[in-house]
Amino acid sequence: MTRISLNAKLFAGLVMITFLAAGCGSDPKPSTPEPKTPAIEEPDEDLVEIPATYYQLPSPNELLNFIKDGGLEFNSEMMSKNENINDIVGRKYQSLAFGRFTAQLAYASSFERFNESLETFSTIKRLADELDISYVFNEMLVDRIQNNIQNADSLELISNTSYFNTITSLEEKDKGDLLALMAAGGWLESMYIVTQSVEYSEGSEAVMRIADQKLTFENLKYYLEQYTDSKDVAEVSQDLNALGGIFEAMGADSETATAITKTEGNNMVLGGSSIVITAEQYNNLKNEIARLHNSITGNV
Amino acid sequence: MKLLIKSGIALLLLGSLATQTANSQHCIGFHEKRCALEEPFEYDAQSKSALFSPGHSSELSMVAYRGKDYRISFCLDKNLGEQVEFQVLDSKSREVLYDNRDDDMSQEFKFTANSTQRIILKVTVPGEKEEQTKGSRKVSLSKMWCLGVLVERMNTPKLGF
Repeated sequence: MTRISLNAKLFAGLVMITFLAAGCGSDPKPSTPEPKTPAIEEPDEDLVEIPATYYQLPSPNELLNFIKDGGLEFNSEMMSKNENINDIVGRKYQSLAFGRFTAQLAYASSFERFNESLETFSTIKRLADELDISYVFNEMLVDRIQNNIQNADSLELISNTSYFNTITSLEEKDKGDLLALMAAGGWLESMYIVTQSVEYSEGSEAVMRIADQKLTFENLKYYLEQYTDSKDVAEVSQDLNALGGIFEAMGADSETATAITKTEGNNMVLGGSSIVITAEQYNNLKNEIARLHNSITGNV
Repeated sequence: MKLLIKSGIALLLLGSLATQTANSQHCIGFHEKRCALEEPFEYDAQSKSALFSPGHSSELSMVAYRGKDYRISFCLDKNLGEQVEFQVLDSKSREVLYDNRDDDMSQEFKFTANSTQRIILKVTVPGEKEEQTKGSRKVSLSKMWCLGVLVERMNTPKLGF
């Protein structure tokens, strides 16, 4: 939306310049009679900037779901203290924290932790107010909360809907830089929770799923790069570089090329090599995630 | 607690008004309104709506997780026609893994992910082809309409006992 507004402003600026230039008239032709009804040029149509590629990220719920599926228990130490959010100052850290609490909401809701979920939702709402984006929680979300608050599935619904609404609303308002910071904060928090919850075990489902996040990390980095005009986003992207090196060092279990094949039953199957992570790489990943968690999100 | 929830809801309701006004001007969220969900699949956050014009191509990079079944479908403004051309590309080699022109222009694509992969969904609205550019480009808003890509997923059903 800002781009459109910007274009409108640019257009207005151009009109103003044209008008002034016409007024100054570097090459006036007084002998030429002025037309009675001067032709008015139609304004150029609004232009919108279309990216060549959109980089998408799974939601924190999608990223964290496997923890519960893997039989792990809820760890309350993963939840931040609500009262500490006053210590989070500035749009960069507030945006990162917004993403961070969104991931914590996804974590608490996936374990159906009612109190923790509502407290975290309240924290997210406070952060939204601080960031002047309280509009991200729209009527649809409120209706869903009202209608589902007593249902067993409502917490996850609130978490998911809150996440989707935030994305939609901020994209709508062309606040991609804020969204990029939130995505980084959410991704980092999700990774912090899973790496703190899972002990390395070669070939285990949970460890493999963590290694798979190399691919979501790639999309996150591309996504951030689209907004590095923002100093805050550029700094966060830079901070994540060491993590990129750790992911890059991971190998594959085979040289099988990615392919889609059709089975006898006409089902399409996407296959290819899987990412492999060693114990040392896992520890490096875990330590770097913890370092980033403590530094980027202010350890609140 | 109930008071807290009610207060929160009241605040949220107030906040919703601004969003509704802005939403009417754009196609963000178009897929949520226009694309049809298919049970037992669940909505995936990697879904996306964007502006397209006839002949225009755009790419969406997404991650498909091992052990999940996915359904990709489309919905588009009537000014864009009724069908899209759709390819799945390998994110690294850009090799074409699937092309719906070889599949009777199927407007939905279901697959099982046997390993986690980053893939590119390349969507083209039929029409006079535009010059392809690597980066972003500026296009007249009046010649563009909304197209939604709906990504859905579910756990791959286990066969047998």
